[in-house]
Amino acid sequence: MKKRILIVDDVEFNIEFEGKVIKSLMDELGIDIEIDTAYTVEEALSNIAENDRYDAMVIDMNLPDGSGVDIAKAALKKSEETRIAALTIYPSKYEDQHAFFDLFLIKPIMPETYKQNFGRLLGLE
Amino acid sequence: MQQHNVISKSVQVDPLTKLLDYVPFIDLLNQRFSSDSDSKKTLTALLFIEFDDLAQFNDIFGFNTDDQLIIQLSEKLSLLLKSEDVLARAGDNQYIIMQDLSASENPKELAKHIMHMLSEPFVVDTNIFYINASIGISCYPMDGNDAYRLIKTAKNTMRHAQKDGKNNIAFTPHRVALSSYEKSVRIMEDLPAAIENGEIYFAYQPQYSYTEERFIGAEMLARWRHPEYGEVSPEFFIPLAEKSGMVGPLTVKALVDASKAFTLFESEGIDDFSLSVNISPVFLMRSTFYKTIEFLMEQYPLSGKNINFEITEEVLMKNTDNLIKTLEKLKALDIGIELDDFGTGYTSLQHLAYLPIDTLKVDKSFVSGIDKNAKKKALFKAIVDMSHALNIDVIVEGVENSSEDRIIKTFKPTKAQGYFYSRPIHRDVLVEKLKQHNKQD
Repeated sequence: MKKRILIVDDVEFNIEFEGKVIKSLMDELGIDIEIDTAYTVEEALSNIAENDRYDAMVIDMNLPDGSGVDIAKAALKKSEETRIAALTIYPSKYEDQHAFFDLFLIKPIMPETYKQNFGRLLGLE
Repeated sequence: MQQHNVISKSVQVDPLTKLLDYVPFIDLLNQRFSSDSDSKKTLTALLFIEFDDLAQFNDIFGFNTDDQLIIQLSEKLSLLLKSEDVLARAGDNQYIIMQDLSASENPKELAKHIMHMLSEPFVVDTNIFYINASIGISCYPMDGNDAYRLIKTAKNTMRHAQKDGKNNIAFTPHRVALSSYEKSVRIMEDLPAAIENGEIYFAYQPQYSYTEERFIGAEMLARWRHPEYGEVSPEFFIPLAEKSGMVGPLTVKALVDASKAFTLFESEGIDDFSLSVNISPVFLMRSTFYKTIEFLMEQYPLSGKNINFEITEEVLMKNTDNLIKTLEKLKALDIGIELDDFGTGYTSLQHLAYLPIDTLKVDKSFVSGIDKNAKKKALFKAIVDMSHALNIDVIVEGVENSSEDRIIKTFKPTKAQGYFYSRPIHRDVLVEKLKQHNKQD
Protein backbone atom coordinates (compact mmCIF):
# COMPACT_ATOMS: atom_id res chain seq x y z
CA MET A 1 0.00 0.00 0.00
CA LYS A 2 1.18 3.49 -0.83
CA LYS A 3 2.78 5.39 2.04
CA ARG A 4 1.82 9.02 2.40
CA ILE A 5 4.59 11.32 3.61
CA LEU A 6 4.74 15.00 4.46
CA ILE A 7 8.02 16.92 4.47
CA VAL A 8 7.96 20.34 6.11
CA ASP A 9 10.95 22.63 5.69
CA ASP A 10 11.42 26.23 4.67
CA VAL A 11 14.65 25.46 2.82
CA GLU A 12 14.16 24.26 -0.74
CA PHE A 13 17.41 22.30 -0.67
CA ASN A 14 16.25 20.24 2.32
CA ILE A 15 12.83 19.49 0.85
CA GLU A 16 14.45 18.32 -2.37
CA PHE A 17 17.21 16.39 -0.62
CA GLU A 18 14.91 14.65 1.85
CA GLY A 19 12.51 13.78 -0.96
CA LYS A 20 15.35 12.16 -2.91
CA VAL A 21 16.62 10.24 0.13
CA ILE A 22 13.17 8.98 1.06
CA LYS A 23 12.38 8.02 -2.52
CA SER A 24 15.70 6.22 -2.87
CA LEU A 25 15.05 4.24 0.34
CA MET A 26 11.51 3.35 -0.67
CA ASP A 27 12.69 2.28 -4.13
CA GLU A 28 15.21 -0.03 -2.47
CA LEU A 29 12.42 -1.48 -0.33
CA GLY A 30 9.92 -1.61 -3.18
CA ILE A 31 7.40 0.59 -1.38
CA ASP A 32 5.19 3.08 -3.22
CA ILE A 33 5.11 6.56 -1.79
CA GLU A 34 3.44 9.87 -2.24
CA ILE A 35 5.28 12.89 -0.89
CA ASP A 36 3.63 16.20 -0.01
CA THR A 37 5.69 19.20 0.91
CA ALA A 38 5.08 22.34 2.96
CA TYR A 39 7.31 25.36 3.54
CA THR A 40 5.46 26.85 6.52
CA VAL A 41 3.43 25.82 9.57
CA GLU A 42 0.34 27.24 7.89
CA GLU A 43 0.82 25.17 4.73
CA ALA A 44 1.53 22.05 6.79
CA LEU A 45 -1.64 22.57 8.85
CA SER A 46 -3.77 22.86 5.74
CA ASN A 47 -2.09 19.77 4.28
CA ILE A 48 -3.07 17.86 7.41
CA ALA A 49 -6.61 19.26 7.43
CA GLU A 50 -7.31 18.68 3.76
CA ASN A 51 -5.80 15.23 3.26
CA ASP A 52 -6.10 11.71 4.60
CA ARG A 53 -3.76 10.93 7.43
CA TYR A 54 -0.05 10.79 6.67
CA ASP A 55 1.95 7.70 7.47
CA ALA A 56 5.01 9.74 8.30
CA MET A 57 6.13 13.32 8.61
CA VAL A 58 9.50 14.98 8.88
CA ILE A 59 9.16 18.44 10.32
CA ASP A 60 11.86 21.08 10.44
CA MET A 61 11.67 22.67 13.89
CA ASN A 62 12.69 26.12 12.84
CA LEU A 63 10.00 27.44 10.52
CA PRO A 64 9.40 31.07 9.65
CA ASP A 65 5.83 31.22 11.00
CA GLY A 66 6.08 29.08 14.10
CA SER A 67 7.20 25.87 15.65
CA GLY A 68 7.10 22.35 14.26
CA VAL A 69 5.43 21.32 17.53
CA ASP A 70 2.13 22.86 16.38
CA ILE A 71 2.23 20.74 13.24
CA ALA A 72 2.95 17.59 15.25
CA LYS A 73 0.05 18.36 17.59
CA ALA A 74 -2.36 18.82 14.66
CA ALA A 75 -1.14 15.63 13.00
CA LEU A 76 -1.56 13.60 16.19
CA LYS A 77 -5.02 15.07 16.71
CA LYS A 78 -5.98 13.82 13.27
CA SER A 79 -4.41 10.40 13.74
CA GLU A 80 -2.24 9.00 16.46
CA GLU A 81 -0.86 6.53 13.96
CA THR A 82 1.13 9.15 12.06
CA ARG A 83 4.80 8.70 12.81
CA ILE A 84 6.52 12.03 13.25
CA ALA A 85 10.18 13.00 13.12
CA ALA A 86 11.57 16.38 14.05
CA LEU A 87 14.47 17.70 12.01
CA THR A 88 16.83 20.05 13.82
CA ILE A 89 20.43 21.10 14.23
CA TYR A 90 19.92 21.28 17.99
CA PRO A 91 17.92 18.27 19.28
CA SER A 92 18.71 19.14 22.91
CA LYS A 93 16.76 22.39 22.51
CA TYR A 94 13.56 20.39 22.16
CA GLU A 95 13.97 17.94 25.02
CA ASP A 96 10.64 18.93 26.56
CA GLN A 97 8.85 18.34 23.26
CA HIS A 98 9.79 14.70 22.93
CA ALA A 99 6.21 13.55 23.61
CA PHE A 100 5.11 14.83 20.21
CA PHE A 101 7.80 13.14 18.18
CA ASP A 102 8.83 9.56 17.53
CA LEU A 103 12.31 10.53 16.43
CA PHE A 104 14.71 13.43 16.24
CA LEU A 105 16.71 13.69 13.04
CA ILE A 106 19.78 15.84 13.01
CA LYS A 107 20.73 18.41 10.39
CA PRO A 108 22.75 18.71 8.21
CA ILE A 109 21.29 15.59 6.62
CA MET A 110 23.51 12.72 5.55
CA PRO A 111 21.69 10.33 3.24
CA GLU A 112 22.72 7.03 4.81
CA THR A 113 21.87 8.07 8.37
CA TYR A 114 18.64 9.66 7.25
CA LYS A 115 17.60 6.50 5.38
CA GLN A 116 18.31 4.37 8.42
CA ASN A 117 16.32 6.63 10.72
CA PHE A 118 13.46 7.10 8.32
CA GLY A 119 13.20 3.32 8.01
CA ARG A 120 13.04 3.13 11.79
CA LEU A 121 10.38 5.82 11.86
CA LEU A 122 8.14 3.76 9.63
CA GLY A 123 9.02 0.59 11.53
CA LEU A 124 10.63 -0.88 8.45
CA GLU A 125 13.94 -1.92 9.97
CA MET B 1 45.06 60.59 42.99
CA GLN B 2 42.03 61.13 40.82
CA GLN B 3 39.27 58.74 41.81
CA HIS B 4 37.48 57.31 38.83
CA ASN B 5 33.86 56.37 38.64
CA VAL B 6 31.67 56.28 41.70
CA ILE B 7 33.09 53.63 43.95
CA SER B 8 31.57 53.15 47.35
CA LYS B 9 34.01 53.50 50.24
CA SER B 10 33.09 50.08 51.52
CA VAL B 11 34.30 48.48 48.29
CA GLN B 12 37.57 46.62 48.58
CA VAL B 13 40.52 48.59 47.29
CA ASP B 14 44.18 47.83 46.86
CA PRO B 15 45.84 49.22 50.02
CA LEU B 16 48.94 50.46 48.20
CA THR B 17 47.40 52.26 45.25
CA LYS B 18 43.85 52.76 46.54
CA LEU B 19 42.70 51.41 43.22
CA LEU B 20 39.82 49.02 42.93
CA ASP B 21 40.72 45.38 43.53
CA TYR B 22 40.16 42.64 40.98
CA VAL B 23 37.04 41.05 42.51
CA PRO B 24 34.99 44.23 43.03
CA PHE B 25 36.11 45.33 39.56
CA ILE B 26 34.58 42.18 38.07
CA ASP B 27 31.38 42.85 40.03
CA LEU B 28 31.31 46.38 38.73
CA LEU B 29 31.71 45.18 35.14
CA ASN B 30 29.03 42.52 35.42
CA GLN B 31 26.69 45.04 37.01
CA ARG B 32 27.33 47.37 34.08
CA PHE B 33 26.71 44.65 31.50
CA SER B 34 23.68 43.12 33.20
CA SER B 35 21.88 46.45 33.36
CA ASP B 36 22.53 46.91 29.68
CA SER B 37 19.37 47.58 27.78
CA ASP B 38 21.10 49.51 25.05
CA SER B 39 24.58 48.20 24.33
CA LYS B 40 25.54 51.42 22.56
CA LYS B 41 25.33 53.17 25.92
CA THR B 42 27.56 50.65 27.59
CA LEU B 43 30.04 50.02 24.80
CA THR B 44 33.17 49.20 26.74
CA ALA B 45 36.80 48.40 26.18
CA LEU B 46 38.96 46.47 28.60
CA LEU B 47 42.67 47.11 28.52
CA PHE B 48 44.71 44.46 30.25
CA ILE B 49 48.16 45.80 31.07
CA GLU B 50 51.09 43.80 32.35
CA PHE B 51 54.27 45.55 33.42
CA ASP B 52 57.73 44.20 34.11
CA ASP B 53 58.07 42.47 37.43
CA LEU B 54 59.00 45.54 39.46
CA ALA B 55 60.01 43.55 42.56
CA GLN B 56 63.23 42.65 40.73
CA PHE B 57 64.45 46.19 41.41
CA ASN B 58 64.26 45.75 45.21
CA ASP B 59 67.41 43.63 45.37
CA ILE B 60 69.46 46.29 43.64
CA PHE B 61 67.84 49.55 44.65
CA GLY B 62 66.46 48.69 48.03
CA PHE B 63 63.32 47.48 49.67
CA ASN B 64 60.11 49.25 48.62
CA THR B 65 61.42 50.47 45.29
CA ASP B 66 58.69 48.44 43.62
CA ASP B 67 56.03 50.00 45.85
CA GLN B 68 57.21 53.46 44.93
CA LEU B 69 57.16 52.57 41.25
CA ILE B 70 53.69 51.05 41.50
CA ILE B 71 52.33 54.15 43.20
CA GLN B 72 53.80 56.40 40.53
CA LEU B 73 52.62 54.14 37.78
CA SER B 74 49.09 54.06 39.15
CA GLU B 75 49.00 57.82 39.42
CA LYS B 76 50.28 58.33 35.91
CA LEU B 77 47.79 55.81 34.55
CA SER B 78 44.92 57.50 36.39
CA LEU B 79 45.80 60.82 34.83
CA LEU B 80 45.28 59.36 31.37
CA LEU B 81 41.72 58.31 32.10
CA LYS B 82 38.40 60.08 31.89
CA SER B 83 36.06 60.23 34.84
CA GLU B 84 33.84 57.49 33.36
CA ASP B 85 36.74 55.06 33.12
CA VAL B 86 37.80 52.71 35.93
CA LEU B 87 41.30 51.57 36.75
CA ALA B 88 41.78 48.43 38.81
CA ARG B 89 44.79 46.52 40.03
CA ALA B 90 44.56 42.91 38.90
CA GLY B 91 47.82 41.55 40.29
CA ASP B 92 51.30 42.57 41.40
CA ASN B 93 52.22 43.85 37.98
CA GLN B 94 48.86 43.81 36.25
CA TYR B 95 46.22 46.46 35.78
CA ILE B 96 42.89 46.54 33.98
CA ILE B 97 41.20 49.62 32.64
CA MET B 98 37.51 49.72 31.90
CA GLN B 99 37.13 52.37 29.25
CA ASP B 100 33.70 53.77 28.52
CA LEU B 101 33.40 53.88 24.74
CA SER B 102 30.01 55.58 24.61
CA ALA B 103 31.72 58.85 23.75
CA SER B 104 33.40 57.15 20.75
CA GLU B 105 36.77 56.91 22.44
CA ASN B 106 39.31 54.65 20.84
CA PRO B 107 40.98 52.17 23.19
CA LYS B 108 43.98 51.94 20.89
CA GLU B 109 44.58 55.65 21.39
CA LEU B 110 44.47 55.18 25.15
CA ALA B 111 46.90 52.27 24.84
CA LYS B 112 49.22 54.50 22.81
CA HIS B 113 49.01 57.21 25.49
CA ILE B 114 49.99 54.62 28.08
CA MET B 115 52.95 53.49 26.00
CA HIS B 116 53.96 57.11 25.52
CA MET B 117 53.71 57.72 29.25
CA LEU B 118 55.99 54.72 29.81
CA SER B 119 58.58 56.10 27.44
CA GLU B 120 59.31 58.72 30.10
CA PRO B 121 61.53 57.52 32.94
CA PHE B 122 60.32 56.90 36.50
CA VAL B 123 62.42 58.31 39.30
CA VAL B 124 62.66 56.75 42.76
CA ASP B 125 65.15 58.46 45.04
CA THR B 126 67.90 59.29 42.61
CA ASN B 127 67.49 56.22 40.46
CA ILE B 128 65.94 56.26 37.01
CA PHE B 129 63.74 53.41 35.81
CA TYR B 130 62.18 52.55 32.49
CA ILE B 131 59.20 50.24 32.68
CA ASN B 132 58.03 47.95 29.89
CA ALA B 133 54.44 46.91 29.40
CA SER B 134 52.23 44.87 27.11
CA ILE B 135 48.59 45.71 26.57
CA GLY B 136 45.74 43.59 25.28
CA ILE B 137 42.34 44.98 24.47
CA SER B 138 38.88 43.43 24.29
CA CYS B 139 35.53 45.10 23.70
CA TYR B 140 32.03 44.65 25.04
CA PRO B 141 29.72 43.41 23.60
CA MET B 142 31.67 42.23 20.51
CA ASP B 143 34.11 40.00 22.37
CA GLY B 144 31.73 38.66 25.00
CA ASN B 145 29.06 39.79 27.37
CA ASP B 146 30.47 38.94 30.75
CA ALA B 147 33.43 40.27 32.66
CA TYR B 148 35.20 36.94 32.88
CA ARG B 149 35.22 36.30 29.14
CA LEU B 150 36.20 39.88 28.30
CA ILE B 151 39.07 39.91 30.75
CA LYS B 152 40.24 36.53 29.54
CA THR B 153 40.17 37.74 25.95
CA ALA B 154 42.05 40.91 26.79
CA LYS B 155 44.60 38.90 28.76
CA ASN B 156 45.08 36.38 25.93
CA THR B 157 45.48 39.23 23.50
CA MET B 158 48.06 40.77 25.80
CA ARG B 159 49.97 37.45 25.77
CA HIS B 160 50.00 37.62 21.97
CA ALA B 161 51.40 41.13 22.21
CA GLN B 162 54.13 39.83 24.53
CA LYS B 163 55.07 37.15 22.04
CA ASP B 164 55.81 39.95 19.60
CA GLY B 165 58.10 41.59 22.13
CA LYS B 166 57.62 43.80 25.13
CA ASN B 167 56.13 47.26 24.87
CA ASN B 168 53.51 46.06 22.49
CA ILE B 169 49.82 46.69 22.10
CA ALA B 170 47.52 44.03 20.72
CA PHE B 171 44.18 45.40 19.84
CA THR B 172 41.74 42.64 19.23
CA PRO B 173 39.04 43.62 16.82
CA HIS B 174 35.99 41.54 17.63
CA ARG B 175 36.36 39.16 14.73
CA VAL B 176 39.57 37.67 16.03
CA ALA B 177 38.88 38.36 19.65
CA LEU B 178 38.57 35.00 21.28
CA SER B 179 41.47 32.83 22.17
CA SER B 180 42.04 30.16 19.57
CA TYR B 181 40.59 27.49 21.89
CA GLU B 182 37.40 29.41 22.51
CA LYS B 183 37.18 30.32 18.85
CA SER B 184 37.56 26.67 17.88
CA VAL B 185 34.70 25.71 20.19
CA ARG B 186 32.50 28.48 18.77
CA ILE B 187 33.37 27.59 15.19
CA MET B 188 32.59 23.93 15.84
CA GLU B 189 29.24 24.88 17.35
CA ASP B 190 28.43 27.17 14.44
CA LEU B 191 29.49 24.75 11.70
CA PRO B 192 26.23 22.77 11.27
CA ALA B 193 24.13 25.92 10.93
CA ALA B 194 26.70 27.51 8.62
CA ILE B 195 26.56 24.49 6.31
CA GLU B 196 22.76 24.58 6.46
CA ASN B 197 22.22 28.27 5.89
CA GLY B 198 24.78 28.85 3.17
CA GLU B 199 27.24 30.90 5.24
CA ILE B 200 29.68 28.29 3.99
CA TYR B 201 29.74 28.47 0.24
CA PHE B 202 32.01 27.41 -2.62
CA ALA B 203 34.35 29.45 -4.76
CA TYR B 204 35.69 28.09 -8.04
CA GLN B 205 39.33 28.46 -9.05
CA PRO B 206 39.74 27.87 -12.79
CA GLN B 207 42.34 25.46 -14.15
CA TYR B 208 44.02 26.22 -17.45
CA SER B 209 45.02 23.50 -19.89
CA TYR B 210 48.39 24.12 -21.53
CA THR B 211 47.65 21.58 -24.24
CA GLU B 212 44.17 22.82 -25.11
CA GLU B 213 44.97 26.47 -24.30
CA ARG B 214 41.68 27.02 -22.51
CA PHE B 215 40.09 26.69 -19.08
CA ILE B 216 38.99 23.09 -18.76
CA GLY B 217 38.16 22.80 -15.10
CA ALA B 218 38.00 24.40 -11.68
CA GLU B 219 38.71 23.45 -8.11
CA MET B 220 35.88 24.07 -5.66
CA LEU B 221 37.07 25.74 -2.48
CA ALA B 222 34.96 26.05 0.66
CA ARG B 223 34.65 29.57 2.02
CA TRP B 224 32.98 30.76 5.22
CA ARG B 225 31.73 34.26 5.79
CA HIS B 226 31.00 34.12 9.51
CA PRO B 227 28.67 36.88 10.75
CA GLU B 228 30.94 37.62 13.70
CA TYR B 229 34.45 36.63 12.65
CA GLY B 230 34.22 37.58 8.98
CA GLU B 231 36.06 35.29 6.59
CA VAL B 232 37.13 32.14 8.45
CA SER B 233 40.02 30.41 6.74
CA PRO B 234 39.38 26.86 5.52
CA GLU B 235 42.74 25.93 7.08
CA PHE B 236 41.03 26.74 10.38
CA PHE B 237 37.54 25.33 9.91
CA ILE B 238 38.14 22.20 7.81
CA PRO B 239 40.09 20.41 10.59
CA LEU B 240 37.30 21.37 12.99
CA ALA B 241 34.72 20.04 10.54
CA GLU B 242 36.71 16.80 10.44
CA LYS B 243 36.72 16.63 14.24
CA SER B 244 33.02 17.31 14.60
CA GLY B 245 31.71 15.02 11.88
CA MET B 246 30.76 17.92 9.61
CA VAL B 247 33.11 17.14 6.77
CA GLY B 248 30.62 14.68 5.27
CA PRO B 249 27.78 17.24 5.10
CA LEU B 250 30.27 19.74 3.66
CA THR B 251 31.17 17.33 0.86
CA VAL B 252 27.48 16.68 0.20
CA LYS B 253 26.95 20.43 -0.15
CA ALA B 254 29.95 20.71 -2.46
CA LEU B 255 28.63 18.03 -4.79
CA VAL B 256 25.13 19.47 -4.84
CA ASP B 257 26.70 22.86 -5.60
CA ALA B 258 28.70 21.21 -8.38
CA SER B 259 25.49 19.78 -9.83
CA LYS B 260 24.01 23.29 -9.91
CA ALA B 261 27.14 24.52 -11.66
CA PHE B 262 26.86 21.81 -14.31
CA THR B 263 23.22 22.71 -14.92
CA LEU B 264 24.30 26.32 -15.36
CA PHE B 265 27.19 25.34 -17.67
CA GLU B 266 24.80 23.33 -19.80
CA SER B 267 22.34 26.19 -20.12
CA GLU B 268 25.21 28.46 -21.18
CA GLY B 269 26.56 26.01 -23.73
CA ILE B 270 29.71 25.23 -21.76
CA ASP B 271 30.72 21.62 -22.00
CA ASP B 272 33.82 19.54 -21.49
CA PHE B 273 34.52 21.21 -18.16
CA SER B 274 35.34 19.37 -14.96
CA LEU B 275 35.09 20.27 -11.31
CA SER B 276 37.46 19.10 -8.59
CA VAL B 277 36.13 18.55 -5.08
CA ASN B 278 38.37 18.14 -2.06
CA ILE B 279 37.67 14.94 -0.18
CA SER B 280 38.80 14.79 3.42
CA PRO B 281 40.59 11.59 4.42
CA VAL B 282 38.32 11.47 7.46
CA PHE B 283 35.23 11.22 5.27
CA LEU B 284 36.90 9.03 2.67
CA MET B 285 37.59 6.36 5.27
CA ARG B 286 34.03 6.35 6.66
CA SER B 287 31.97 3.27 5.91
CA THR B 288 29.16 5.44 4.53
CA PHE B 289 31.44 7.41 2.18
CA TYR B 290 30.94 5.46 -1.00
CA LYS B 291 27.17 5.02 -0.53
CA THR B 292 26.84 8.77 -0.04
CA ILE B 293 28.75 9.52 -3.23
CA GLU B 294 26.81 6.90 -5.16
CA PHE B 295 23.54 8.43 -3.92
CA LEU B 296 24.58 11.92 -5.01
CA MET B 297 25.77 10.76 -8.41
CA GLU B 298 22.45 9.00 -8.97
CA GLN B 299 20.17 11.70 -7.66
CA TYR B 300 21.81 14.87 -8.99
CA PRO B 301 22.85 15.85 -12.52
CA LEU B 302 26.45 14.79 -11.97
CA SER B 303 28.56 12.76 -14.32
CA GLY B 304 31.70 11.06 -13.06
CA LYS B 305 33.64 12.03 -16.14
CA ASN B 306 33.31 15.70 -15.14
CA ILE B 307 34.13 15.19 -11.47
CA ASN B 308 37.51 14.83 -9.86
CA PHE B 309 38.12 14.03 -6.22
CA GLU B 310 41.19 15.59 -4.70
CA ILE B 311 42.65 13.45 -1.98
CA THR B 312 45.67 14.38 0.08
CA GLU B 313 48.74 12.33 0.72
CA GLU B 314 47.52 11.94 4.30
CA VAL B 315 45.12 9.15 3.22
CA LEU B 316 48.09 7.05 2.26
CA MET B 317 48.94 6.79 5.94
CA LYS B 318 45.65 5.00 6.61
CA ASN B 319 44.44 1.58 5.60
CA THR B 320 45.73 1.31 2.05
CA ASP B 321 43.78 -1.83 1.12
CA ASN B 322 40.45 -0.22 1.91
CA LEU B 323 41.60 2.97 0.26
CA ILE B 324 42.41 1.22 -3.00
CA LYS B 325 39.03 -0.55 -2.96
CA THR B 326 37.22 2.74 -2.43
CA LEU B 327 39.23 4.51 -5.13
CA GLU B 328 38.57 1.67 -7.57
CA LYS B 329 34.83 1.99 -6.90
CA LEU B 330 35.04 5.74 -7.55
CA LYS B 331 36.89 5.04 -10.78
CA ALA B 332 34.06 2.71 -11.77
CA LEU B 333 31.79 5.76 -11.47
CA ASP B 334 34.22 7.51 -13.84
CA ILE B 335 35.35 9.93 -11.13
CA GLY B 336 38.91 11.17 -11.60
CA ILE B 337 41.33 10.92 -8.68
CA GLU B 338 43.82 13.70 -8.05
CA LEU B 339 46.59 13.51 -5.48
CA ASP B 340 46.70 16.96 -3.90
CA ASP B 341 49.68 18.83 -2.41
CA PHE B 342 52.03 16.36 -4.06
CA GLY B 343 55.56 16.54 -2.82
CA THR B 344 54.93 18.03 0.59
CA GLY B 345 53.74 15.12 2.66
CA TYR B 346 54.04 11.42 3.14
CA THR B 347 53.96 10.09 -0.37
CA SER B 348 56.31 7.30 -1.01
CA LEU B 349 56.82 7.23 -4.75
CA GLN B 350 55.95 3.55 -4.84
CA HIS B 351 52.34 4.47 -3.97
CA LEU B 352 52.09 5.86 -7.46
CA ALA B 353 52.71 2.36 -8.83
CA TYR B 354 49.51 0.86 -7.45
CA LEU B 355 47.14 3.68 -6.54
CA PRO B 356 44.61 4.51 -9.24
CA ILE B 357 45.68 8.14 -9.49
CA ASP B 358 44.85 10.13 -12.62
CA THR B 359 46.49 13.40 -11.73
CA LEU B 360 49.19 14.76 -9.47
CA LYS B 361 48.67 18.27 -8.17
CA VAL B 362 52.14 19.59 -7.66
CA ASP B 363 52.28 21.73 -4.57
CA LYS B 364 52.83 25.43 -4.99
CA SER B 365 56.04 25.29 -2.96
CA PHE B 366 57.72 23.71 -6.00
CA VAL B 367 56.48 26.51 -8.20
CA SER B 368 57.04 29.56 -6.08
CA GLY B 369 60.29 31.12 -7.27
CA ILE B 370 60.94 28.38 -9.86
CA ASP B 371 62.12 31.14 -12.20
CA LYS B 372 64.96 31.94 -9.81
CA ASN B 373 65.92 28.55 -8.46
CA ALA B 374 67.61 25.98 -10.69
CA LYS B 375 67.12 23.12 -8.21
CA LYS B 376 63.38 23.77 -8.03
CA LYS B 377 63.31 23.77 -11.78
CA ALA B 378 65.12 20.41 -11.89
CA LEU B 379 62.79 18.90 -9.26
CA PHE B 380 59.75 20.12 -11.10
CA LYS B 381 61.02 18.71 -14.38
CA ALA B 382 61.66 15.35 -12.70
CA ILE B 383 58.11 15.23 -11.32
CA VAL B 384 56.57 16.03 -14.68
CA ASP B 385 58.78 13.53 -16.52
CA MET B 386 57.98 10.84 -13.96
CA SER B 387 54.25 11.57 -14.28
CA HIS B 388 54.42 11.38 -18.05
CA ALA B 389 56.15 8.01 -17.79
CA LEU B 390 53.39 6.79 -15.45
CA ASN B 391 50.68 8.21 -17.70
CA ILE B 392 49.56 10.52 -14.91
CA ASP B 393 48.51 14.11 -15.61
CA VAL B 394 50.08 17.01 -13.77
CA ILE B 395 48.32 20.10 -12.47
CA VAL B 396 50.58 22.83 -11.23
CA GLU B 397 49.27 24.77 -8.27
CA GLY B 398 50.07 28.31 -7.27
CA VAL B 399 51.22 29.78 -10.58
CA GLU B 400 51.41 33.43 -9.72
CA ASN B 401 53.22 35.27 -12.49
CA SER B 402 54.17 35.10 -16.14
CA SER B 403 57.80 34.38 -15.36
CA GLU B 404 56.90 31.21 -13.40
CA ASP B 405 54.30 30.29 -16.02
CA ARG B 406 56.80 30.60 -18.88
CA ILE B 407 59.24 28.18 -17.22
CA ILE B 408 56.57 25.72 -16.07
CA LYS B 409 55.12 25.51 -19.57
CA THR B 410 58.41 24.34 -21.06
CA PHE B 411 58.18 21.07 -19.10
CA LYS B 412 54.70 20.37 -20.50
CA PRO B 413 52.55 19.70 -17.46
CA THR B 414 48.84 19.27 -18.25
CA LYS B 415 47.17 22.11 -16.40
CA ALA B 416 47.89 25.11 -14.26
CA GLN B 417 45.99 26.76 -11.44
CA GLY B 418 46.92 29.94 -9.64
CA TYR B 419 46.42 33.67 -9.37
CA PHE B 420 48.21 34.20 -12.69
CA TYR B 421 45.23 32.55 -14.36
CA SER B 422 42.51 33.40 -11.89
CA ARG B 423 41.82 33.67 -8.19
CA PRO B 424 38.89 31.61 -6.83
CA ILE B 425 35.67 33.20 -8.12
CA HIS B 426 31.93 32.92 -7.80
CA ARG B 427 30.16 30.38 -10.02
CA ASP B 428 28.43 33.09 -12.05
CA VAL B 429 31.71 34.93 -12.60
CA LEU B 430 33.29 31.68 -13.72
CA VAL B 431 30.57 31.21 -16.32
CA GLU B 432 31.14 34.74 -17.63
CA LYS B 433 34.88 34.11 -17.74
CA LEU B 434 34.42 30.88 -19.67
CA LYS B 435 32.02 32.50 -22.13
CA GLN B 436 34.43 35.39 -22.67
CA HIS B 437 37.35 33.03 -23.09
CA ASN B 438 35.50 30.82 -25.56
CA LYS B 439 34.55 33.88 -27.57
CA GLN B 440 38.22 34.84 -27.89
CA ASP B 441 38.94 31.39 -29.31
